[in-house]
Amino acid sequence: MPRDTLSEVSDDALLVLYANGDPEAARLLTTRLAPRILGYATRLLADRAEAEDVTQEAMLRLWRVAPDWRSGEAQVSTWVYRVVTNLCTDLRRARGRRPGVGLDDAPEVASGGQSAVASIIEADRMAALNAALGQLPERQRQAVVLRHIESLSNPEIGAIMGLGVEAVESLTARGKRTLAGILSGRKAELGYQDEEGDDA
Amino acid sequence: MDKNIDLDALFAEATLARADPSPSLVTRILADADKLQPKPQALARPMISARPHGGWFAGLAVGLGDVLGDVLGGGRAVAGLSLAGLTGLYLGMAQPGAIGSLTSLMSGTTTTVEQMDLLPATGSSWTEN
Repeated sequence: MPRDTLSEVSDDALLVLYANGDPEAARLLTTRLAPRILGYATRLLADRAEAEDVTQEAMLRLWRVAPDWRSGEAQVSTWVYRVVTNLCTDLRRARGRRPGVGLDDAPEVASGGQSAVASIIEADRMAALNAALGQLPERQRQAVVLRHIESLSNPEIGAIMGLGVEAVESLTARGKRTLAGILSGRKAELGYQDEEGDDA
Repeated sequence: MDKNIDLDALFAEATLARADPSPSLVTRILADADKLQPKPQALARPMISARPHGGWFAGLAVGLGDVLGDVLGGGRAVAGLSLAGLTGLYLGMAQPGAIGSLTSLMSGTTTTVEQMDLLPATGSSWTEN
């Protein structure tokens, strides 16, 4: 099927097309899902190389499940987030408790279309945010990232994490409070001091 | 603002910051996809494993049967066509018999049809003097 036609097709339908032998469907699903998976895994693992491995593994599992996929039963993205969450949890358990990620170690998630200075400032902010996320308890980190960065709804997060909506709300609220506490001591790294100075 | 840190703005920045997969990662993912993608299977014609014994005539008959089967659409089509042909042959060869009227067939009674002379006066015209 031509790419123009496929661009408006749902992930669900693309997966069915892939299972039916459409080669373009795999390319489009990769374009849609891989950046989201990679960003999410990077924030959970604080390690770009491991996040890439998790991304490949999650997509591999998606290709495997495609022939048995029951269209309409679940969202592809929710299914993939659940796989990634479990893979990251297993990986972190396998390597033991990771020490708190320092600012220098924190991975950055790239963004484009900015000046060099603005890019550096934003990269610093993102590194500080990722470092702070790395200090959260695992479940809080997952909930906060899914809710506030991946912009998923609480029921979706509940489906991914195997929790009820209230538990998700509680985790997210606690995680956000903890994160604010961690970041409050890093305003300089976040670039807030200059802005406050300008306001004064 | 949470403790002077605008967390929501920070989250919004993080949401917009896109994690671009490296070309090598995309290549690996697509290679997996290609490897695992179910391939459409061509419809295979059933193979005739062995020819029957019985000389060249038997072989020719089987070969002719295969060709006719392919041309006409398979064994069932050939059988149907043969049956239709034989039925037509029978209908052509059979002696004609009496056919009862539809009414007698339906009701089980017989109907008598009497002759009626519609032009009695013209009868003498046909007589030679």
